[in-house]
Amino acid sequence: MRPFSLSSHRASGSLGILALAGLAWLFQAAPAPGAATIVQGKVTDPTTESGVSGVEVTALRGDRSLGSVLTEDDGRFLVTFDVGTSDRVYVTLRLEHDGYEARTEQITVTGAQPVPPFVSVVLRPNALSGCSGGGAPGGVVGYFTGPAGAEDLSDKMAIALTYSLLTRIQRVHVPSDLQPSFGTCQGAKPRNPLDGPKFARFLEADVFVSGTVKQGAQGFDVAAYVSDRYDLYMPPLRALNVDVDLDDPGAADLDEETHAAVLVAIARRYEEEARFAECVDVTVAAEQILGGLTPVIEAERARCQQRLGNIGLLPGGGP
Amino acid sequence: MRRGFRQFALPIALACTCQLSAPVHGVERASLEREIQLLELGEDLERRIPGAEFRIAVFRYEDPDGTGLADAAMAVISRYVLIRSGVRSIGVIRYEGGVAPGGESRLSYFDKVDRIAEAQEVALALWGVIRRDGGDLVIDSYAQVPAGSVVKYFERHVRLPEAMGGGLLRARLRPDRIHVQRLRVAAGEAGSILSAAEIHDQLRESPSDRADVVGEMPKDQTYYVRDRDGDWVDLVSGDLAGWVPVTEHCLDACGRLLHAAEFSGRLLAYMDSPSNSMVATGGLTTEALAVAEQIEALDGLERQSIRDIELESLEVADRWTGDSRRIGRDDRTGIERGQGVAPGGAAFANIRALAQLALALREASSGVPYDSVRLEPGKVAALAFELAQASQYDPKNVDVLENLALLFDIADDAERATLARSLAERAGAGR
Repeated sequence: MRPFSLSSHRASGSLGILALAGLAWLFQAAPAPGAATIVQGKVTDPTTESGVSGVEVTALRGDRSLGSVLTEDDGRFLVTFDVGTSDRVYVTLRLEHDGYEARTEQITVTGAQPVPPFVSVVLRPNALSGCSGGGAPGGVVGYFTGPAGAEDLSDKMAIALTYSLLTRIQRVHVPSDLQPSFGTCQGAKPRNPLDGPKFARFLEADVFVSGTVKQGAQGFDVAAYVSDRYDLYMPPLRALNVDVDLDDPGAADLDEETHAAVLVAIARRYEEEARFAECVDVTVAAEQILGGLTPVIEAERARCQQRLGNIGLLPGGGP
Repeated sequence: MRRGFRQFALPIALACTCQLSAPVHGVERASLEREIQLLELGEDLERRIPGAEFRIAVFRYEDPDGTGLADAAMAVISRYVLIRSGVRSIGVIRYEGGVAPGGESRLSYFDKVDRIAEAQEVALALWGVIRRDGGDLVIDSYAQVPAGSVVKYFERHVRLPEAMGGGLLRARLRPDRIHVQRLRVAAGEAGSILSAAEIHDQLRESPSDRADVVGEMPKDQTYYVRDRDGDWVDLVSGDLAGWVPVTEHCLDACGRLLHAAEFSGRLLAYMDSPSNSMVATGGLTTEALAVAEQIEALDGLERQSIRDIELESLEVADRWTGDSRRIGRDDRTGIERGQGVAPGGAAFANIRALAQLALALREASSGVPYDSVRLEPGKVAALAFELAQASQYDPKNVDVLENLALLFDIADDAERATLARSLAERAGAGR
């Protein structure tokens, strides 16, 4: 029995969606006792953290569709179906949109009650397919908007970061499995540099770099924005290379201050993984790059020192 | 008494067949990727230039921007170290292949170099990176002292009196991965490195620019030095022999690159004989200066005279630690000394603690046998707490932690001694 069935065609238009959603709300307000299951949820774009409209949400029991809806402008959806009032039933929600990777979510229905009753789903934009920090320490360099040739900057910047930071980190003997790597993701195009941390979080990267290239007086001005997933640097750091030749690898080099900032983000990563000694080591490397301490470096180091066993060697910090 | 940096002074006539019994000055080429591959398959490496007393590995400079200088930089550096380090018997292994991430190995840069250096048991490894930056080239040169060499040549001790347990407190060189030089040269100047390397490969009939060229140094064969005349050396490789200059044609940018080679040569010369002084010259990095001064401070630890310990260890360590940390440009070399935590983390603080202890022991042993001296536990505890402070910013420094274990033992602080020992074990296991 399908007490409530929705069209799966996006072409049905917003009026249709509203009408159907209204109908669904009606069902929610007065569901047939023991028959209708109502699942609500929201679909979000991770790079903007705003809702995604027009996502087709289909409830499936096995291969059989129980009903489908399209998400509203704010990304919310409500889908109603009937799986009876028998024992526990497993229902799959399939979420599809042309601009995103499809994804499924499992819900459990017992006595028409869904668990979870509200489903939050983050869809990966197609542009970010294959892009991920992979959970390992490091960063992702995204797209640089600008004239032809700007797209090569991402690769050059990843190479430059890898050299500058790996050699720093290896000098303090950080084990190889904790050493960072830097990759590129041309599909990562924040509309606003302030969205950088969202990209960093979604890509599971400790840092995310993107930027712009503009014609300067005698060459190109490259502005790179460096964000981190921990909001250590908010707004994102801006590094500017003025009047550069885009073919010059030096155009992709970030300054020492930015290198130190990336190291502090890596240190935060080590802190989260309870690698406090490596955290301290990397903050020392950051300090040595700058020739001094900044409040952010000092704070990060202090947090890790507090968790080190070595603190027990101090007077008053006794075992 | 200290001697200056020795010049090559051994006219050597040798052939490959006699290399086991005579001093060797030879160069052999090897494939980095091939040797890494063998190591990752669990195989042993063939020991290269086995007859040389000191063997070093020089890696082709990384050249991600395609400057074309990678081979030339390696050639200039390796030739200089071979001839000018003054080491009695030296073999240079020149590795082709890159150390940057990529390829089948997950190792890169220092870690990759270490893998080879330890397997070949070389005394020192040198490598570098050349990058373009606008109209300039930036050449980074690194020296890496493998763990075995650190222990063999750069470890010093303070022995405790028997009355205090007779243990050994230890200090070792840190950093062991040294950024020796960052050389910025105009791209137009870089030709001097190329032309020097080219001239270095042209074998001449006699030690003169006007002498006929009799051949080119083969790229893939081992060669040896058999004689010397001024700046020129007579090289032999199989049936081929001839004279090449060492520094004469290495001017401008090439000449400045030699400062990195000179520093590395001095490290080797010091390994050969600690009476060879270790100094950093202008144009090198803070790390190079720190290493040079740290070696002096390490040597001071084993001096007998109170005055020598004060001057060589304590005073030098003070330059890099605590309130007396010197900052700004070094008066003698012009090198920026940096500020905050010194290169090597707690290494200078460790030397300082050991120097203070050595001084206290020397003073207390005046008129009594050294082994009967027993310092007050409170005095030792004060030293230990000072060193414990340093371990907060270099938490995995095994030397510091093991020394702390001993010092807390003497200070009758068993709990902290046990903690230090357990931290040392963990830190040692992680390396």
